[in-house]
Amino acid sequence: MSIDVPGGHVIPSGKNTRIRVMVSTRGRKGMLRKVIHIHTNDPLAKDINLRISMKVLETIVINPRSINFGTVLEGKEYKKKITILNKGRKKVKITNIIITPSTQMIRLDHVSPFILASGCVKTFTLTFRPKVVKNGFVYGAAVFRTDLDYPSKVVVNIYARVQRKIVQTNK
Amino acid sequence: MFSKIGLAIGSFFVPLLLALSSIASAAPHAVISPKEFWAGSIPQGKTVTHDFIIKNTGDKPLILNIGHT
Repeated sequence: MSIDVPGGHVIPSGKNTRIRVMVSTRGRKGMLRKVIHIHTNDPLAKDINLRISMKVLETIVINPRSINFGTVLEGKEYKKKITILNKGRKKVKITNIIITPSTQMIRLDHVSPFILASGCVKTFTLTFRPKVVKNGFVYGAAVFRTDLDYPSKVVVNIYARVQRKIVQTNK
Repeated sequence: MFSKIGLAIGSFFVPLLLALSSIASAAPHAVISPKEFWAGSIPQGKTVTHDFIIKNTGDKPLILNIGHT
């Protein structure tokens, strides 16, 4: 939030001034309330609170926002569903979906670009076929890029701990 | 006799009371209306801008110190 008082912080007798309040809704959802505290030299109103509130509506809702596969076995296949919903009033174009790491471990059954009409949901299956990595942990992401100014992308984070398959040998 | 005393008391206290009341009212007075603003439903990513108007109806300059949460 930012506050601007263009007329200055001292108001002469009989005059008025504007307190301009700007509240960004980036990264926020649901009810958003802000309080502006004003301390004055008015003996009858030393402290004044101004309140500004709003309901922030998400345009793109992706579920889940993160996937933790937990401990997984090398070479085995794991699947999770991801849904993407357009809660906005206009259609949204998903211009591109980028999967990282790009080691063929993680795949998404998608064809991008595609258009998501207002109120529509699309479900994807994310397939994870782990390979053993250096420290045993995989940190990945599925990045959905949109044609909107905001959000220009929505990210689903992916985590897993990969365990090496134990191969028993007969002696 | 009593009327003369009353006149004398009145001529002393009335200006005194007027002087005291003028000292008491020589202060700034902040008037803001309304103090709350409901912006409604806003799409994520937008910036909401609102102007609160504060008026000084007192007879001394009003000084503001502004903070927020």
